[in-house]
Amino acid sequence: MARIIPNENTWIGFTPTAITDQKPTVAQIAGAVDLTGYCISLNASARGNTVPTPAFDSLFETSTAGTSAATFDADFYRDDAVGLTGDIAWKTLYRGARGTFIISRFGRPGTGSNMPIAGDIVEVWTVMITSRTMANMSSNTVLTFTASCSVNIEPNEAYTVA
Amino acid sequence: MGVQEVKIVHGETGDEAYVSEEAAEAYAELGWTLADDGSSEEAQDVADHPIETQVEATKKKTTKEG
Repeated sequence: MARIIPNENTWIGFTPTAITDQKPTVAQIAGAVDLTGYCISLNASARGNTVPTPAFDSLFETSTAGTSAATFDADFYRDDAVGLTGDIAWKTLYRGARGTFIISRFGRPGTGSNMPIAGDIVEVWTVMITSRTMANMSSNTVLTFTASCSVNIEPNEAYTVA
Repeated sequence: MGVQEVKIVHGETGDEAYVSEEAAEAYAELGWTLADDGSSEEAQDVADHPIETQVEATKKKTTKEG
């Protein structure tokens, strides 16, 4: 057992398909754009609501489970590379783009690639990009942008690729 | 007006998606090809009028197919 950091362990892919069952296949993962090298930070989080259920017969305020929601936003680098795959994060994550993020947080050191294969556990987030915002331009600062998303389908936070 | 979108298909999985023309070029490296069914025009309608046009597009398709 060891603590790990995201660097060289993470893989982040985006496929333009809404994977409605939240169970991407190996082939679907292979068809996803690899955004790992462009990503600076990623916030994919779910949050549940608790509904208070106090009653006169007790001083203890009980609660019950309510709805839950999720947010997804991430920061990426711009890239001046030419060619079809240059600046690919910016090109693929335009406002209105729909698709599914596939995130592997635990890579396979020594294999040369962290792209998930059968048996790996991934997170699956089907989203729509609601905004693609460039960071403030300032001297001596790398160009980056933030993609904010709506989460259209309940995410699967622990899917074992089959 | 929304982004001009085209329909692409993945050669192995058969998955279909609508993406911007710029993104379609990038996806081509990953086994995606442009769908050759004249659906790009329909995709633009959907981008411009997301809800009502999808309904219209579905009706049109149904009528065409009988």
